[in-house]
Amino acid sequence: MGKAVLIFVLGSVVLFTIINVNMSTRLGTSSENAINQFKETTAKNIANSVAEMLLSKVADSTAYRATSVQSMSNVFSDSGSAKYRVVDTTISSQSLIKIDVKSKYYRITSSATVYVTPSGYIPSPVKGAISTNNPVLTSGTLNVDGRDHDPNGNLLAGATGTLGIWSTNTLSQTGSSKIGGTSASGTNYAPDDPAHAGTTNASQPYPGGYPNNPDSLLGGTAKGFPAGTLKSIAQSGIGGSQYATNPNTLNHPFKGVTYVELPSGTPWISSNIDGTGILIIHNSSTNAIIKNENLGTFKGLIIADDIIHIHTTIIGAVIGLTPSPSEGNSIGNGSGDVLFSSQAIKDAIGSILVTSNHGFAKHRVSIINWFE
Amino acid sequence: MGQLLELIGASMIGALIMLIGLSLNMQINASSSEIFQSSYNQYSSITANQIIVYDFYKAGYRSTGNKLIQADSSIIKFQGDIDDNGNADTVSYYLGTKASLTATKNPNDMQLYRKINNQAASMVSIVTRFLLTYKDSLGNNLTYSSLTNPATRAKVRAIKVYVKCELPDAINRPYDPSVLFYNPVDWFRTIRPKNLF
Repeated sequence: MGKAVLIFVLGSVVLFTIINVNMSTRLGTSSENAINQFKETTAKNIANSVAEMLLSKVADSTAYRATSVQSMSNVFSDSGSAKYRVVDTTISSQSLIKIDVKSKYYRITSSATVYVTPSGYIPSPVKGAISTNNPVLTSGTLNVDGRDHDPNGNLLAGATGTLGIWSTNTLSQTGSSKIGGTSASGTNYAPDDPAHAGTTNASQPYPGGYPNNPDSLLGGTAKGFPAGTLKSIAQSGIGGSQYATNPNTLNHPFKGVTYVELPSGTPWISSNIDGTGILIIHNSSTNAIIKNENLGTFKGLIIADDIIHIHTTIIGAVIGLTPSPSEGNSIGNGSGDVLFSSQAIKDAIGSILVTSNHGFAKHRVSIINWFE
Repeated sequence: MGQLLELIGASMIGALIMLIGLSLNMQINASSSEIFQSSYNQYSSITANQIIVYDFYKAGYRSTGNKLIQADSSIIKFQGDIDDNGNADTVSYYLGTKASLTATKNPNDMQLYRKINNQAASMVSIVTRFLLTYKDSLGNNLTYSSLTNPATRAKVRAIKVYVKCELPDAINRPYDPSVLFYNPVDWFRTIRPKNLF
């Protein structure tokens, strides 16, 4: 009897021990899973945080590069570290800056790769403060200045701008209108009547054909604007973008992309164009009309099928698409200013280039892709 | 007489000790089984979590146009270069039907599928719930009906994922045998894919 009890008790103890060890292992594994989740999240956060820090660095100085692997320790805690590189790369013919980060938290690793580009650019069809695919007539006291200005319209002395007016067709300067700009040799000329030779260029060919829609005008797919992108951005409302078929429904000031798709033959008259960004007046027939821009100052790029009578201030550039303007060619017949500003155009395009910008210092960069 | 009483008393005490020991063993066995199955369930949830997190963070990566192709409560289809080979892939997640899992006793479990481009769909995990909620840049929930519109889908900046995994068979709990307990593991995560902008 005594032996049997002893065997039973000892057997129970052994069984209990085995089960207890097993349970402890399982519980330990469960805890380990939770801890690993935390570590993985932390490692990912470290990678993204370091990428953000490097983005700020590139935003402050677009020339910044770290071609050899650099190390950063004590990130998040003394157990967090990262290694990174900042190098130039080319993807689909686009020159980009690649920020590559590998992070480590305890033994868990993570990575983040960010492709960025300095924001904004001047689209190649912007060949003057006003560029058109049709005859141009300036009259009244319209002032067109292709010299470079800051986004507030202040002249940047010594900076290289562009032509006052460029057209595939004829140019007539009448009334008291003045045209100025930067000649091909880089000399700046103040607006004058008549315009100084070399500040305008008329009857010019456009190799490959003049773009007939806003996306191709900004460079199309190669620049990140496949057909329909601008309209899609406007419809998404990103950064205050707006899309309308009736301009009366638009809110001011404009921001991002303001896309007005007017019905064929229905003009937007006495328009208020107060705002910034890219203002597009376009339809599939390339006959959307904006006429008598009477109110508001616009900073950025205006792309219009048919733009008539600029009576307000535009800082940036204007592009006309149609070869057959509805009212002949009168782009301005009263008082109005078109002041070329490379920065206003870059800001406008940069703000929507990939709709995610970074940096608040001297330069801003656009994030093209982020792999994590 | 005294010896007889002693024997009876000792037997009773011995029997009680044996009963206590057996009961303890049974309880330990039940707990061990529950912990083991819970651990298994946790693994199942973690696997689903890792696959979902890996894919969802790639949403929109190296893709243009409509990055989010379909967005519903338990179906999502998006574009993203998940293998980082330079070409955007079309990734979709969707649920199978409850009826398709007849081999398990859990009446609510379903297969969660993952499909890449035109490849055959593969199973991510067995789940009893897979709920997706879509948020705009301000963190506001976007209604599923509004997400049929591409313009609304373009506003999605964050995707909240809820995955619930349960055991295929109910755990037998000696202290509560009337309740079918499938030992659920709930997993929530709000994912903000950096390329959905």
